[in-house]
Amino acid sequence: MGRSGIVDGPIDEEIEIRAIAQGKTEVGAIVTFKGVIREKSPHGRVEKLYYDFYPEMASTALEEIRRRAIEKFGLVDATLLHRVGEVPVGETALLVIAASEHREAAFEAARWMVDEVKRTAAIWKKEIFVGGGGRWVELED
Amino acid sequence: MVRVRLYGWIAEELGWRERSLDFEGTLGDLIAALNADLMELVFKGRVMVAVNHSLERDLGRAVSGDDIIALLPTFSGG
Repeated sequence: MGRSGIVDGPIDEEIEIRAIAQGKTEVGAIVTFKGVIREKSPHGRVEKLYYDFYPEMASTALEEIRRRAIEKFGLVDATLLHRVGEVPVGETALLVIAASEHREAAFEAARWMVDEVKRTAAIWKKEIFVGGGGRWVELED
Repeated sequence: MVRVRLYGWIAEELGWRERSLDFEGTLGDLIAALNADLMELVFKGRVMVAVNHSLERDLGRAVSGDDIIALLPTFSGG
């Protein structure tokens, strides 16, 4: 079963992939996207990101994106999880899984869900640099 | 009491996260009372406003007792 939500610890994508595919014999394609924290930034060497979020609005937006993706692309199911708090370099902050009968819908839906998260979810990230200091990321960055 | 929540860099800049205020007036009046510079940022689109967990563009909207007002930077999740 797919799901959406805010999580405050590491995301285990293998568990989520198994959950979304379990018992669904009509699924022919599963596309996953992981947003991973990278060290390189134009503004310094990143140690981790800190994600702030508005609980009520962020949770609602994630579920709405998931629901709309299933409807818009005819998915069998979808999962959309966003981690908050401190996320170290190399770890996953965003997990998108799109399960469909055919690959085109899954690819398109995964990309669309990522874009919608950035556009509509009340979540904000701050780069925390190695050696101290930090910087809130603006959308156009 | 009106509850005001701040998020992201706005909370850092103003140095607080949530307050309850005895306030009557419009949304615009409330924002201006919190910080005059914020209104400019709202007009520029760098700060958004939510009332009771929904985005609100009408700054003339009356704010009343149980409302939860949130000031939000432009989203940057993902």
